[in-house]
Amino acid sequence: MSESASAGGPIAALRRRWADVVSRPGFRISVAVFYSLAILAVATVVYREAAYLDRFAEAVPDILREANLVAKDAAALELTEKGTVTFEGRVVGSESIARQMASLYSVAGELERAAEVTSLLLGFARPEWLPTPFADEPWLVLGAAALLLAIVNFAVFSGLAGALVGVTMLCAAIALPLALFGRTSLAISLAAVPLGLLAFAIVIRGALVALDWASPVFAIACGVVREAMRLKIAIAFAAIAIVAIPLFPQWIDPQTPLRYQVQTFLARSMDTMYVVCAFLTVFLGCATVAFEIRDRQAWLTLTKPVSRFSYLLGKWLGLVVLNGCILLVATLAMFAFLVQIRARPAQDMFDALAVRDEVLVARVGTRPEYEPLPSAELQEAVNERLRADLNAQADLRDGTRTEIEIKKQFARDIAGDYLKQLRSIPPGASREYRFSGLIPPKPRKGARPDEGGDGAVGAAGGTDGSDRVNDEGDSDEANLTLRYKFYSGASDPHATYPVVFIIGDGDRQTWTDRQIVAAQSNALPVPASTVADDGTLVIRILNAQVNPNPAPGEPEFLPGRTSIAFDIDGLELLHRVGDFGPNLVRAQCVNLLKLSFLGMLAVSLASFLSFPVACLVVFTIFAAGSIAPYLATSVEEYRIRTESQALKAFEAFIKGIAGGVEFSVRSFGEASANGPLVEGRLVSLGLVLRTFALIGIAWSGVVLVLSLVVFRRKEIAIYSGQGG
Amino acid sequence: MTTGRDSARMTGASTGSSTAGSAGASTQRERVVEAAGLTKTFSDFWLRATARAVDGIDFHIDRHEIFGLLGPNGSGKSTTIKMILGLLHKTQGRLVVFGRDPSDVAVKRKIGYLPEETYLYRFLNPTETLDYYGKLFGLDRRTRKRRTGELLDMVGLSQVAHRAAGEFSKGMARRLGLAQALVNDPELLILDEPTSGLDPIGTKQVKDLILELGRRGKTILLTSHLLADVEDVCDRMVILYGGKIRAAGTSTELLADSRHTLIRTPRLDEATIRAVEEALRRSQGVGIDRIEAPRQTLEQLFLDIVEKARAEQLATSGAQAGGRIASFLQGEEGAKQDASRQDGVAVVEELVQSVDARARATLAAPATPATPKGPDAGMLDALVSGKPAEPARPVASPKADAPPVPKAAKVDQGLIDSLLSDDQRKREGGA
Repeated sequence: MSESASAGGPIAALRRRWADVVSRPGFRISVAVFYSLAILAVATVVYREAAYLDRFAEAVPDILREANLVAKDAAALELTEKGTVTFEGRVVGSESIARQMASLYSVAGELERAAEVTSLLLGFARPEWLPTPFADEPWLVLGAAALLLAIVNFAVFSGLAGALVGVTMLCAAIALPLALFGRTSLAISLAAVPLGLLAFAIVIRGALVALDWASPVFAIACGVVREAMRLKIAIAFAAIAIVAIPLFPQWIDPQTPLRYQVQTFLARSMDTMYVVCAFLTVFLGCATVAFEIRDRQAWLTLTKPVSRFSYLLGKWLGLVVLNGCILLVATLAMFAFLVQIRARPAQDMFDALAVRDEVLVARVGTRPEYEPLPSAELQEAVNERLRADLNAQADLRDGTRTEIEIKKQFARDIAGDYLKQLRSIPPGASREYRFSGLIPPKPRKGARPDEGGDGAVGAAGGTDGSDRVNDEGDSDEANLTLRYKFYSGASDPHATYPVVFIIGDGDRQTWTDRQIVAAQSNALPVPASTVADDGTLVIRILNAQVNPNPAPGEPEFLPGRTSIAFDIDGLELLHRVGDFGPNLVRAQCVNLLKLSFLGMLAVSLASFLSFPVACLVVFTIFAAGSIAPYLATSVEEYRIRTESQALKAFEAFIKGIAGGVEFSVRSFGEASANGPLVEGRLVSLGLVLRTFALIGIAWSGVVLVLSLVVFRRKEIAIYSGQGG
Repeated sequence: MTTGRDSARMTGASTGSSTAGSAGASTQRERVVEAAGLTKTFSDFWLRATARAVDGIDFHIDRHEIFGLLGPNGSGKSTTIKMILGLLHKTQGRLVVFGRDPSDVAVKRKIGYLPEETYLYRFLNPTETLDYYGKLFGLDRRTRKRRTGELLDMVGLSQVAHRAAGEFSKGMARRLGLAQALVNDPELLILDEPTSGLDPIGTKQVKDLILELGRRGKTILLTSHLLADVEDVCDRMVILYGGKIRAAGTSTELLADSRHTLIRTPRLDEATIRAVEEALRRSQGVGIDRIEAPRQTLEQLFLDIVEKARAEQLATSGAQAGGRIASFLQGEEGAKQDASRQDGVAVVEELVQSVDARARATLAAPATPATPKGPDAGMLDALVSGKPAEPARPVASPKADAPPVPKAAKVDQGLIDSLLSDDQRKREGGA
């Protein structure tokens, strides 16, 4: 036996023995069979449960509608006496709701709101361990099982069988003791860490297989991925994102409103992923090129039939693939833990509804439509002002300005004042604001009562003194949100101002009154049932408060103390246009495109700059791009209060540079997806395509072309002689 | 005195390369690299000239030849090579590789390059390294896998195929570098200090490899400042100093000492030596300058010791002994030689079989029994003549002789050996 075989002690011997075992085909086959059977067994159980719930949701409403209480049908009696329904031999429900059920029957013995009752009963039927997506769509179980089977078998036969077994044992060793002590949440978080790293390793293996083409670009990309995996610092960056996300739920106070818990988790996870990937992209992108040129590995590559363009493109592709893998795994981890956090108890029904309707959703903000000032009135007002404005007349006489210029300016000012007036409500007065282009949300299947996902049957629809409009079998449950920010008088932050919102028209109308704090953003849930069939919604805002004890003859409302007003973006109706999942995918696409540009910048600059200089330049551009919106505001408000011409020139100089930088990187900052995602706003496909075209193609292309001009002329080999 | 390269060529000629050689000689040789007035001046950031590394050199490299670019450190060898490879841009002059500008990417498809130091990716193992470079040439997976296996066998790194290159010794890294230079079966092989970092065994293997590749039709450009290493292998060489060519020509032209004659004999006694000297004095009027007992070189001693150790199967954790040349490194002449060799072997096989067949037929024929002798003729004569018969001599009964077995024809092993793979013989002889 060679000397090396006996070196290293018992641990090394154990490692060699383990390596020997895991490399055998028999071991791999055994592992593959074991895990496949386990997955099939679990999938079978899950699918059976999900399918049962699906059949329950389909059949029970009809059963309940047909069961007549007056005729003493068994189903009706069971529901009213025990609060349960027996379906396919299983009793579902709870005695706690029995009394409530009785009140839902009409005098004729027919059950009203059968669909809502079914939703409520489904909440009791669904086991805690069954994820909501599977409960809603049983076919997803089969898809997930098939996907998991494929992934596990790929992992086993690509050389990760040992890691799979090791991680399974490690997860069991971590999770079981904690679970036995009742720390299930912590057990899941800790067990998810090695699982996440294993998932990352599997995804990377898949990426290497996908990149295994006989082409210089793909070969170089493969090299970058391998370099990242085998250089510890690159793994550390990836591990930060993948390890931190499962642990975030442990650091979020469960006593805060569930909505804020979810948003905090989302914000931290998305920002961590993005920042970690950005740092990795910059460091690895600069290092992989700069160090290769410095250490001369590039000689062996560039003396092969590889163009400089292919070289840079391959390096860039490797970075993109690596970022994609990290984002994929981290996003899946984030999604899984989002489901876990969402299952935490909400503070109340409004909190639960807020999670569903304001956070885990894709919404679009619609501003009210303002009727412009009629042209005739505008013209009349312009002429009147021209007649009254002495300065304007003086300018006309002097020839300083033409009449058209003056009239245009007056028209802008008058129209602006008119719109401001429309956004101002005097005390005791009201104004009507019309929103259009709204889309009624889709109905949902049952959810657990403590989730508040759908609200308890018969509960208020989220606004005081309101009642939902429900049609049999056509419950409309997703709320809209009215965001408003009002100013009133001196906008005293310690004072409150009364406002009444009258929402909708006719029999869909509902209203609520609020005491608002001026200059502060507020949100008001609006029942979707108030939206008209043509997709419009009328909201009347009354500057008044409800008269608490109106005597006969006294008005119902008492006028407010001062006028209230709001800015052009101070009143916005957020309505749902899509689901959270696709929104998350679009947001990550935007992030990936921005990271791709960062990668191209790093690789290109490193081709002719040293590593530290390239890193510095790339970070500077990245930072400037990220804070571009703030930079724009700062540039606009930057002023030096001085009469000195020199200082004014300096101000202009600084503004010019800052403005130029801001202009250059503005698009990078505007392509922001994390904030809208956390706020439950839509990350539109248009944004993705714009980001792809502008940042992904145009900017990256320009950077690549410019760097190629330099790189092609660069002499890769340095002088190594004795001089003279 | 023949050099290693000459003897290899002669050997090659005897195995059929004469056909290729004569074909090459009959046509004008294509020039693979052509340089005229080639100059390289390095400048600083302010474009001030700091060093003239190559100063107006003219040379060319013909196809199928082994060309040496020799000189001390800093003489411009590596700079010249880097210009050929496109890693540096020439300042002045003309430089053409395969008829194109060196920066042309298509040209690099025909070139294999081993740099002065082997700059490998430390995180890749040999298999991955060769696979990576194979992909850069667009080789398909099957070809890459086959060539990777053969090359690792050839350079003796099969046992460490899955160890990261960062853990390699300099010699092992050098071997891997050599393998990557050959992965594309290049037409032009550029070796910058190929024996740098190698032990004597490795040096000899590299030299044997260079000779073998040259015999198989590769064009090889190698540089070295270890002149003894390349003396035996180069067809032509130029010697650089200070960026200029100081000497150029074949090894014979440059190295032959026309002023002396060297005769090697078995050991002679003093009297014989005196007689030889006397004969020289009488015929040529010259004496003997020097008489010495030749001795084994240190290199040969080293090789013998290692071979002995290998025979005792002592383990090593490093590189193993190299294997046979990878089969894909054929080249045109190699393919022809192989074809002619195949034909020659077939002829010999036929001959052997026919001889064996005759031998077997002879063996199979029934033995003709010896005709028994008749009565004693002497006794008969006596009876007829009335003379008393001589006492009968006991008649020796004829022995049952075994039928004569013709000796099986001895096959000419020497002819067969000379037609079998030359490299195997070289390997056995070299180790």
